[in-house]
Amino acid sequence: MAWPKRHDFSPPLRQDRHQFSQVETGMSHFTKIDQLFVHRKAFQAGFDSLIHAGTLPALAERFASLLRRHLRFACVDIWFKAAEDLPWVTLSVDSESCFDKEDPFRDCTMESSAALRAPCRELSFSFAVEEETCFGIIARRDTADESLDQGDILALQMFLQTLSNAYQVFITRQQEKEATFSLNTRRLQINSLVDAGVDLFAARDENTLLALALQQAAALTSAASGRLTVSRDGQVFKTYHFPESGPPTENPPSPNQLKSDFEFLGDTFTFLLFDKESRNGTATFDETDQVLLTGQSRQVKVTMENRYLYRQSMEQERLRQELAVAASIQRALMPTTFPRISGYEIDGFSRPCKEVGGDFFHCIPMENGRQALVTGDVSGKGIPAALLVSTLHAALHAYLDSQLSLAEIGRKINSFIYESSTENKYITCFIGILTSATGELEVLNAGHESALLRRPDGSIDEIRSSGLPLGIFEDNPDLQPERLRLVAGDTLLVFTDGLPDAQNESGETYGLPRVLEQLRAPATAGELVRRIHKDVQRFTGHAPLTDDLTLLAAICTQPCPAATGDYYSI
Amino acid sequence: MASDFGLSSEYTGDCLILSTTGYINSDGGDQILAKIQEALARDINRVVINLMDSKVINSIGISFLIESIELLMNAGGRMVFANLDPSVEKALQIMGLFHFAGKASSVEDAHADLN
Repeated sequence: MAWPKRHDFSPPLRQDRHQFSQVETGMSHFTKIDQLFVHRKAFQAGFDSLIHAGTLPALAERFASLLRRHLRFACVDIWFKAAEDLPWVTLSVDSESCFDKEDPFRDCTMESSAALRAPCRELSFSFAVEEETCFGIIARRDTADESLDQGDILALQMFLQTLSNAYQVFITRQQEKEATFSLNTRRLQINSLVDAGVDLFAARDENTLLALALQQAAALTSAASGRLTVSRDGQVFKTYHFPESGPPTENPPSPNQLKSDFEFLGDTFTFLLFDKESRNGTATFDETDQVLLTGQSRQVKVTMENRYLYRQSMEQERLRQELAVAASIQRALMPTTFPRISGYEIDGFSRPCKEVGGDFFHCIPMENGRQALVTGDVSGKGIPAALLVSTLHAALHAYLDSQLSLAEIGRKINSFIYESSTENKYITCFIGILTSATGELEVLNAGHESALLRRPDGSIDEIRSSGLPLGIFEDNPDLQPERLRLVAGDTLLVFTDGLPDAQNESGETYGLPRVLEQLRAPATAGELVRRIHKDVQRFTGHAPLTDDLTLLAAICTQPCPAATGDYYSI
Repeated sequence: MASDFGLSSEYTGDCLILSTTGYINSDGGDQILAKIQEALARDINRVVINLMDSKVINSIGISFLIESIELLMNAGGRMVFANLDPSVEKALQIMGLFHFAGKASSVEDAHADLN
């Protein structure tokens, strides 16, 4: 059956009195109009009361009260039907009356002449306020009371119009509230998505982050529950549930699901949400929910990436600090000042190409006025090389203090380095023990760059290697010291391969000729070292150092008394 | 449906104090509304909701809270939320609940607010 259209019983205006009075009612015009004017204030007051009802039952209750008060009904029962195919719902019931048949208002609409025919004591009719929305009203007077006349019926019609108008206001307010709620829900969802990144980033660990992400995803989409799995090569190795009790069953799986996944560092993270909630029970996840979950899933991925990069950056910073400490320790292993030795000038420097280097130099005082002039170059660079430099430093101090010969010292240090280092690690090393009083210089060159000795006449001799670098083999039998004697004007220059191998931006190497050129020009030890350093810097320009660079210079400035013994002639 | 929601209630004088745990979703909101309807039937129209142990709420849960607030207001009463988690507080703020309901940092403060 089709429900009737909504009635329009507009209140009569004063100028319409005559027209309104033409309605065939069987009463005098004066009486009908006067009765309506008696109720006029009641209509307005009733409307004011009705539109302030917060709920539909409250609206019905207030309307029933109006009818009882102004039309002297003893009982007013009101039902409501939201749509044609829905059942009647009780809103306000005075009496014990109830439906004893399927639809008591069938064929008893406002249009049916039988519904509102005066005189009568009881009315039963349905009243459409929307296309398919009806109120059902049963109202009756006590048997002792008089029957409803046409004036009462007219007044009732006016009250029904008031109800209809109030219902429209009620519905409009409901729609406004729903629209506001919907708008606020969208604001909440956008805010939640924006805040998610911040909250997730602050999570103390990945477990907390993922549990929080799942919780946020469920709340964002109004899902009843959810699951987040982490898998690699199709094998799930971690599962998170929200709530922690998890979905009640997976067999059969709920058809009302929402899914989104992403990959990070080879793992697949899959969000699965179950059972979207609504005020009517459950709803189906829609496109907006999919967009929200995808957005949340991206937030999680970005947060995990950021946390990963942040950790990497923190780790790099920690390593940088550790390297700075290591560099500081390594600098402490090498001299910043040199001993004042009568008749000699000694100077040197070392510049690592990275934070820490594999080069080493020192001038170590020994017993009987002797000095050990040492330069070393560990294979490789960075921390491993620096560690071996420390080992060499310790070994030198330990064995140079002994009464062992230089040859024995060389063998001992070779064994020590061999045992202390890993495979493929070795040290080229120059050790020169200078007896300052006599100018005697006993040298041991273990695979190191040839040292240069400029004689007073300008000639330059090379002090070549006599054995393999330290630590390659357990024994280093070819390692034999050589003895020579410094005289006034001799300049000894010892350096690592970083000097001749220094490259400029064109890839050209500094080369031995440039070293020799610098060595030939007269200078003090300090001047020579600084001049070579400056010339290398000028040569390399903006090209970075590719190897550590170390120099040690010793100049004999005054004649030494004649010494006894055999001296090697280079 | 899976739910970790829990609700306890106590009457302190003419005030109902509800304490929740877990996810305030449809199920949780419905339980809160039912408790408030019970209170109204006993002419109690002042309610404190202690949300200390609820860190998550969805929009359906919020809709039940709105309905509860409306019921209380229609009955001349009031609701005050206590011990709000920051994320829940922000959600209720955005949804406009604090235009019609109060908030307090503890149940005692909420109770004092109602009195």
